[in-house]
Amino acid sequence: MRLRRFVIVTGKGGVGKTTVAAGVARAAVEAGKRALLVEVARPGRLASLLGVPPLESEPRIVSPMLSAVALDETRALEALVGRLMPLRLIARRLLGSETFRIVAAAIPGIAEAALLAQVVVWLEETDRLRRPRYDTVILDAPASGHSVPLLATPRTLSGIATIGPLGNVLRRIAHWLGDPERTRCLVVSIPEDWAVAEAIELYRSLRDGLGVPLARPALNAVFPRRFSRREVDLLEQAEAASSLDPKLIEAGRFFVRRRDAAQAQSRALRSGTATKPLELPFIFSRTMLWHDLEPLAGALAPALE
Amino acid sequence: MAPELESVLATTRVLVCLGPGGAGKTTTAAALAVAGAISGRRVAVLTVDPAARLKDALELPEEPGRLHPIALPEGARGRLDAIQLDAKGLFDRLVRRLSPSPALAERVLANPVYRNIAGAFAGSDAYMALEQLLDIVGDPAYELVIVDTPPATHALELFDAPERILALLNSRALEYLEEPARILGVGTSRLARGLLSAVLAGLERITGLPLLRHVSALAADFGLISPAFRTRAESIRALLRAADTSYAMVAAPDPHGADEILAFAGEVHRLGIDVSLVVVNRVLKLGQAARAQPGAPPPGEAREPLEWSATLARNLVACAHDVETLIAAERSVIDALKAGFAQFDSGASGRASSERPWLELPAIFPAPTSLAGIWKLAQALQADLARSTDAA
Repeated sequence: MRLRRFVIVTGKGGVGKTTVAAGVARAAVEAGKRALLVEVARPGRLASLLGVPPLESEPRIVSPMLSAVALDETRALEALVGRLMPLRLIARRLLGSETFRIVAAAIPGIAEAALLAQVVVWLEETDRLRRPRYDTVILDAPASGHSVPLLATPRTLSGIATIGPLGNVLRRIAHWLGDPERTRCLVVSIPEDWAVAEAIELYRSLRDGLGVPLARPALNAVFPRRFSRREVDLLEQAEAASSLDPKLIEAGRFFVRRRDAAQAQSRALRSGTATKPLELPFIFSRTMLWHDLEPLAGALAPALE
Repeated sequence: MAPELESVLATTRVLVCLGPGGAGKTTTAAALAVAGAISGRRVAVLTVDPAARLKDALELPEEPGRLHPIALPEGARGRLDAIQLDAKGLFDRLVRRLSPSPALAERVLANPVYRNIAGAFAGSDAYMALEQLLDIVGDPAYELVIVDTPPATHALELFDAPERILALLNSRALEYLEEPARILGVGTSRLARGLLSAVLAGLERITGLPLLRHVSALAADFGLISPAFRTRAESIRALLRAADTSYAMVAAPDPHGADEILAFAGEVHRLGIDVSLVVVNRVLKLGQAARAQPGAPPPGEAREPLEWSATLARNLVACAHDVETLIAAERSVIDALKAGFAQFDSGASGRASSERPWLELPAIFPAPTSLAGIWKLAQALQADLARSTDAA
């Protein structure tokens, strides 16, 4: 599998981004790649999914091929300012002050730019042999919402005069985000009206507005197809008084309903994005840990080529 | 309606719905509001981020920020108005309302960096929801106000917001903005001040904004309005702690989000918030169908009509097994949450676990995005169908 160096997983809150991002990581690791999983929420779900103590702001090795980190907005901004101002003590003092935070808030997107700048540092990090330290960096992006989209910030900021060290940082970010060879953005949704509608909007604005290279849009938590059309008819007709255990009928019908809904939402997603969606299976398990991700990783691998 | 729920709604003026994101808080807040209105109260509900379809279902106007009547089912004895939060519009309106003069207000609103700094001052959508709440609570038309909160992961953000605003307004930060080099404090070298000026000047070039000048002007102008904001922040703080303000925790028993739910509940407890109502949303109610006939053949060995095949039977058994897994996973989340609350209760004085209404709303698939769907949930609450299935 030819996995991209930078995979961004995005979508509305509640669609399973963290789980999908971990699935991508598993696919990478199974293909023999060294992966870094980056989470933005603090605290997020990634640590318990991976079965490790809470993640820190420096990458931690979780297994031989996998590292994980939780980005801290404040530290990222600190690091960015540290790059702009040679005296780091000053930088820290600055950010300790409410006042500087207000000044930074006056510049739209600077906090997001700082997050991406840190991710780019990891993307460009090399080991002693001058190979990239991580074959792939997977970003579990914050839920899409009202604020300036994370991925839009380099364009927003670099649309204005790009000089000086901040300009350089923004250019490096934009270079990565726009590169179809090295980057893919995976928009995730689930088979619900509200999630698919938002995913379509997000997909379009990323594709048309920002030029971020996109993977096929992912429909997560899709129930499997277990019954032929004829069997579905039989199930619908089964009478309550029949000798079959009603629990079985009920369960069967539940699956049919969920499967039908998934099909309908998949068609809507396809129609809205003009792309065949990638269907990710519903995980039937009491836990969500690394070993539960196998079916997800299997479904994701082809989409990341 | 369950008497405990009835009791909470009757003694509550403000009901704040807390919970991690993705729990269906907005839908639940709307359902609670409809239930309250059905039982005869004059209710207002403040929603924060309704999905587009829910907005259509509630028939909220395109422009947020205004109260709008909501249709109720036949026989409802009260009334319900809904409002969708318009954070930006609200802050502008507050600036205009609280400013000592209209000219000052317009100067603030016209300032090129106002929009972004307003975000920092307002803190977050959570704080703006509280500002909006303050306005609604002042209106005697409503006996009960239900507040949906933004899908913030941390309850602290809501309660912290007035404190942060007050700290900001009470600090000398605004003075420093008029002379930014003062950020560095007394005794810093001239070199350091020079570097700071260079950085800020650099930021100015990059953004094309004469940042320093606009920020200083804004700080000076806003300084004249801030006392009024300070008064409001204090009123909000008092409102959050009022005796007739209640808190409901809303959670969806997603087995893959169990940690988040428990962490949220723990945080709420640590903040000293008394949760007077728990609503577990989107609970699968399956597998409860009784067997049709005693002595019927066991599953998988049913006497099948000719068209039924072994494959079909096997697949049905697989479905039943998966459904069982889902339900068991959900129940373990619900049990963990109950145990968590029991632990909080045993520590604190006052409320016994059995007194706190614990409601389970059934999963409606697809998610209710029609008014009829919200009514259905409200009627489940109303008819006490939402009582926890393992209540004693």
